[in-house]
Amino acid sequence: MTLILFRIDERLLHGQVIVGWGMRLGIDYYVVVDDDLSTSDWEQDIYSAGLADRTEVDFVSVADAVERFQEMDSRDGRGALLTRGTAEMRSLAEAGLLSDRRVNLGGLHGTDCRRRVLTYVHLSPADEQDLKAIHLKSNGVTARDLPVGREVGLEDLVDVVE
Amino acid sequence: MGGAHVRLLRSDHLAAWSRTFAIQGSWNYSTMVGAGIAYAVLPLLRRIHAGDPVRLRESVERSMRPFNGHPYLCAMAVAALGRLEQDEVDPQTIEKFRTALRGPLGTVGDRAVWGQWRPICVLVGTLSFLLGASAGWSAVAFLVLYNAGHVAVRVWAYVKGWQAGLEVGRLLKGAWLERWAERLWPVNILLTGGVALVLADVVVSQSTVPLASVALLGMGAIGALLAFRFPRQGGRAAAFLLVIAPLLWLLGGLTG
Repeated sequence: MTLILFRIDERLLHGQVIVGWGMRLGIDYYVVVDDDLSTSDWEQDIYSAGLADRTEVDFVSVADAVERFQEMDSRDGRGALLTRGTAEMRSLAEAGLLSDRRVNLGGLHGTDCRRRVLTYVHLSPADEQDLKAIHLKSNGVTARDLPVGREVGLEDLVDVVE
Repeated sequence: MGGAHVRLLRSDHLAAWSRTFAIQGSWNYSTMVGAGIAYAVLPLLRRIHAGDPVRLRESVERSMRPFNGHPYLCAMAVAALGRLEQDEVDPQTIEKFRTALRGPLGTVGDRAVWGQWRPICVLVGTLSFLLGASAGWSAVAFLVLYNAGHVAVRVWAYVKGWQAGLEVGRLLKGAWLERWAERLWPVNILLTGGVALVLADVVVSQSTVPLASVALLGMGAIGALLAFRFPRQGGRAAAFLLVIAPLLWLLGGLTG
């Protein structure tokens, strides 16, 4: 079990993740699960530009992530799996891959259809449904922007009891 | 007529670049520096879409969308976005570009500027004060040194952003800023050690506690070895000492 961070953050590879979490946890590789990014070289170039030379990154589609999860979870070093939104993480949870993992909600910013629940988390009704589904199929969902930040349980963000 | 047929003037670039100093002026949790980006890129868009108010409005609206990044490196985003608008790149690609760029601009800038350059400049100012310079000159040394690097980064970011356009990802990978962030790390540590030593000397010389310099150096050496063996805990201990040493120094001064 080498994937030690599962994070939903629409900014994917950015300062809070690479410096804030990555340096604290000693992350050696990142797995970015995103269908669009997995086929776009120029976008991959930009997203990975902030990584140190020794840090590796794989951009995989949701289907590939499900298929290759065991391989990605048994690599040397410590890894972090990132998704841009809640739907991709829900797919992984419903494939039974997160049953003993805690999911970190890191950053979903405001849009017209999202309501603000924390300064760095804004949720649409669809996001809330996804998070409830992830919560049921994982070891829990908590929001925390940085390791030094306050951890907020999903039950404080949405009503998790149906 | 607009886009690729328009030649931008140096004054347009100067106006856009100078506006990047106000990039965080309307920061908020919803769009972050989105409005600041739009404000900065506006002189370029006005020239590119001159005579076409509909396209100008559309491009400004695009620029207003959420964006975040290191404030100095946002100059790269401003220039690159202007370049994409001039090259008439389709709006969907521009939006993807904006979304992708906010990550690395934050990471590279945080690591190089907040993580290395600013602490180094603070330590240089502190060291010059501890070695006898007046408080005023030490502050001036800090401000001049820090802003020389700061403005250089803004100029480089803008120029390269304009030149690279969609290819800024490849440019950022292995750029001098990244290499220097790595190289400045030992300088940072050296200066931290220097400040700690001078502070220790001040504490020992002013303290009534009978601690000889040799004993203090010995304790420092043991601390350094422990920090080398347990870097995470050692780093915290070093940070604690750096905070506590000036307090002891002040206390020593107050109690005579």
